[in-house]
Amino acid sequence: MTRPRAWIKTLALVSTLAIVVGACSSGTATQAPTAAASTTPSAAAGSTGPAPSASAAAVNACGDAPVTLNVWGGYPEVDAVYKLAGENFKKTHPNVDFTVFSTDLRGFEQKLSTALPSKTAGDVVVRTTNFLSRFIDQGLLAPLPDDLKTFVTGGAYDPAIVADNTYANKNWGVPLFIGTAGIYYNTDMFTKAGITAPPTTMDEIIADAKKLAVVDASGSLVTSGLSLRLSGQGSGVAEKFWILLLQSGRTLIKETSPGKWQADFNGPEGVKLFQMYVDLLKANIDSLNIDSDAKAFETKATAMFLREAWVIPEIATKAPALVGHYQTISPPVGSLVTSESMFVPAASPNAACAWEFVRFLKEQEQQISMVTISGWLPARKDLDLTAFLAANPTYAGFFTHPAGFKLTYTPPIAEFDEIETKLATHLVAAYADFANLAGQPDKIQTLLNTWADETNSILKTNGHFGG
Amino acid sequence: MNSPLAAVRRVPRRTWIRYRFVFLVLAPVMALFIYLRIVPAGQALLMSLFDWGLIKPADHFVGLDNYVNLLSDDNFRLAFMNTTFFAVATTVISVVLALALAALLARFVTGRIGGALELLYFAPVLVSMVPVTLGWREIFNYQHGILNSALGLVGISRQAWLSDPTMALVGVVILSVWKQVGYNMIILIVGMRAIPHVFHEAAAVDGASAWQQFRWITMPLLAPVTLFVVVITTISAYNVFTQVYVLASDVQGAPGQLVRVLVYDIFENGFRFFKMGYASAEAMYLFAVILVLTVIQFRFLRGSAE
Amino acid sequence: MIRRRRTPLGSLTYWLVVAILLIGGIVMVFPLFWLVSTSLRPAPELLLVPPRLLPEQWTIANFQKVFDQAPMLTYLWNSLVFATISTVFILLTSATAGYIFAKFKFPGNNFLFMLVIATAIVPFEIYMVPLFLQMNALGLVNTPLGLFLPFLVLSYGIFFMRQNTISGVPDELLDAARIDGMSELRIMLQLVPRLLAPAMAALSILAFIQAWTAFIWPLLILNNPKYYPMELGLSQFANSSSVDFGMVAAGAVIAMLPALIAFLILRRRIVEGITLTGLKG
Repeated sequence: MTRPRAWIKTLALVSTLAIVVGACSSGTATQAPTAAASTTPSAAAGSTGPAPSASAAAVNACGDAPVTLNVWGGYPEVDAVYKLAGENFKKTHPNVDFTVFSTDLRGFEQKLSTALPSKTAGDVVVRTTNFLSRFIDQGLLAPLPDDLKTFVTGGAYDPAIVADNTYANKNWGVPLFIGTAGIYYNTDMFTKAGITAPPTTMDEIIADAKKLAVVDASGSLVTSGLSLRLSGQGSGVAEKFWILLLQSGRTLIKETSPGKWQADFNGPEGVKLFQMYVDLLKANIDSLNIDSDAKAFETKATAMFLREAWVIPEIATKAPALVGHYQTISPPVGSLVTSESMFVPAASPNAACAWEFVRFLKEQEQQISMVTISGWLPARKDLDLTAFLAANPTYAGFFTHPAGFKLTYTPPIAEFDEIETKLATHLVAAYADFANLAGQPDKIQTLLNTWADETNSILKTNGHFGG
Repeated sequence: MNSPLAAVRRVPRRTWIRYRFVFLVLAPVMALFIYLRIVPAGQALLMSLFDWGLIKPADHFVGLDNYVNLLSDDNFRLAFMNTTFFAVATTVISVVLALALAALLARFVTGRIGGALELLYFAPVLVSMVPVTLGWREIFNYQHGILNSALGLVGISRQAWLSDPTMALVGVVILSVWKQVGYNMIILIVGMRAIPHVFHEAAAVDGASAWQQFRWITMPLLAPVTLFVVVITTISAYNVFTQVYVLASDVQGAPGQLVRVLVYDIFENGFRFFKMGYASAEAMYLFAVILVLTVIQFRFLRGSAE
Repeated sequence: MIRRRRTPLGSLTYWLVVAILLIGGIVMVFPLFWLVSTSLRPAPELLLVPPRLLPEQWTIANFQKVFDQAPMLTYLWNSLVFATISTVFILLTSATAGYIFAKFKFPGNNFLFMLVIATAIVPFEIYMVPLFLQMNALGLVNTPLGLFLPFLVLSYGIFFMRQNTISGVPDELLDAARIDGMSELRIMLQLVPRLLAPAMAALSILAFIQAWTAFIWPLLILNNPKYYPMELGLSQFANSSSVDFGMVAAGAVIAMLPALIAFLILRRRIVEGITLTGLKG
């Protein structure tokens, strides 16, 4: 008769324990973000002299009293960069300590949505100007000091990146790191197929892909010549289509007048690109059934694919056998660029010192450490890369671009995600139907027009359509 | 005197003590319950009449626009068709299979052998959905998945389980039936064992075969349990999400067609596009469908039980 | 319970049926076996065509790697905490509310209980959008409390406990206890649970499984990996590490183990629980 009671008692004990533990972990969540606090720096090896732009005025900006700067970011892999920069900064500003808070991107966005209005955000916040625009509207982010404004528009950054960080006709964030696409290719497979030089035009890419595809005895594809993004959830399929579309000079949606956009992908270049997709599928150069993207490249299931620079450190850890057998090359005409920039919240008590750190982070040494430590690319284009590229030749595709190479940034409109995702859904369905669409440019044009109509109607619903 | 005050005075003191006890116990529970269930339910209905975003709530009242726009939304229509096909296929196949298994395991093959066999069929129910979906994703792989290799052994060509939209739907049905059959079977077995033997013995004496006994005695008497199994399988099938999400979510390269189902569409509308009013209207449609189906199933199977 | 075969068929048919059922059973268990076998394979063997049933070279390296690359123990612990808290609260709220609804007449009894039934048939997915907004308004997005909150009550639980209380707790017993001078509180917390122990056990199993296997709510509400329960953690890990499927399989095996172990220990209870919540509800 006491059995049920004892059972309840143990359950109560376990649950009390669980609640205590759960409360402890929720307690740390509701406190101000702390996360990995970097304290006094250990003897930093390879330290250089003080930051070039440091001056008497700069040292004064951080005063003499102990100051702790909170750096917030949405990419945990960049934490080590901030920490190293903090250690180097401390050499000229010994009274400044750093804490770094980061979480994954979505969580970071949600965190900012509550912390910025409640004035509990950090001292330096790193995110896209596009995302932070809603907080700029509410006056929650400090405007750029004049010297930084001059610097940002002074040619250190690609015009697309500067445009990406312009909101309401003003420059806002100082770009810190960017993501662009590069073409990865397997040098062994190239040699085996008798290709002596990497492709420098879209036509060459397609021609090479046809030579690189490998089928097995039963005719099914084993190695794809070019790995295309053909299925999956989200907007990735449309994004990859967009990058290839840029090579022909067109884009997904184009700005016809300030703030007004229109679908641009259903022109003859869009049709030609879509035909390329279905033709490659029909000719069994790529297949819906085979692995794709980074996984395929790392398991030698493809000879070429496009992706950002993070694959390079991943290959070093997850596919070391591939190291030395692959190289990267820039896309022929252009690429998408996303830029993460540094902001200082208006309510930060250490604003002057925070801006000082921002000035420090944009310098050569810190920018190079961005790519060597996190794999993200530095935002500045006026860096001295000779030493870096000599030591890391596989990054060539991300730094060395042909003349006239053009970067395109994401349209700063809230509904763009919906446009991209819905286009991705259509593309996926159409790729699966490739047998019926190969060699049918009229059908393809009709399809693209239907999708463009949908894109334009989404733009209209949000008041951003301009004919 | 019939005033409320007089009515209150008429209540004896002991009842007041009891009322106070009821209140003290029920109030916190009901408060939690209302906050976590009633308020969201009401809000879902309310939001569906607005153009409601995440950062800027309650944009403006649009009445039934969300509902009307959904009807012409290609994604919604595809989701509806996929989910309906999925629900029908999964329910029919898993219930029929479970009935067959239960018929054999409830009486025919019992004892320790029966118990061990029951365990084999029940195993998929025990483990959670994400690990097994990951396993099935590899089993379905076109090139090095074992399903295509096994089919090859019996002369069937390789199927594009994950890369063809139709086959992907079939694949999700297979995965879900596999996961559900054991659960249905166990419940049906218990239901069958609860039917007294005398009915079957009497029928056997009258010369009825095993199949006839099953068809005319077991099945009708089992109808309430069968109804229960059909209803819960249908409801959980209409709410399918996890398998579909995991099968289509490899960002690095395995092919994975997204089988667009209703809950996924609600999720995408609400949490990718932040059209929360629109997503709520879609959720209302889903609820209406489930409600209608449940009522129909009750009528149908209860009628056949008479 | 052991019953003799009732059909007058010979043992040949019996063994034939057993064989067929056995083959079916092996097919059923095969995907689980396959996951285990894959987790014990070294990487080069994963891409063999045709695939081999058993690893040629057994290795536990995948298990070591998965613990290095993903916080498996954190995920398991989070799942345990989440499921336990949810189960305790659901038991508490369902049993007390069910008892009150069953055994007490008071104005509003029927009305409130109808609310409970009405929400019991509404699937969770209908609530998820407004629930998220509620948690957002409270600032509980991406917190453990935000994760637990919707799982602290279960409409079906209240319904289930009320039905069981009606059939399992005789009024006479309650009256006798009251005459004996037992306080209402003691009756509810000591006397009634003794009578309803099987039902409470069944409900706790249902609640535990529901929280342990929850996926969509954690997906919506959590973004910080340190709070992820196992289901969510495993899926995010699999996404970012799909190249090394052996490691992902090891993670999947780790995720499945607690359920299998619990089943081996509590097998009878679990099956009873499932059938009880199903049939008597």
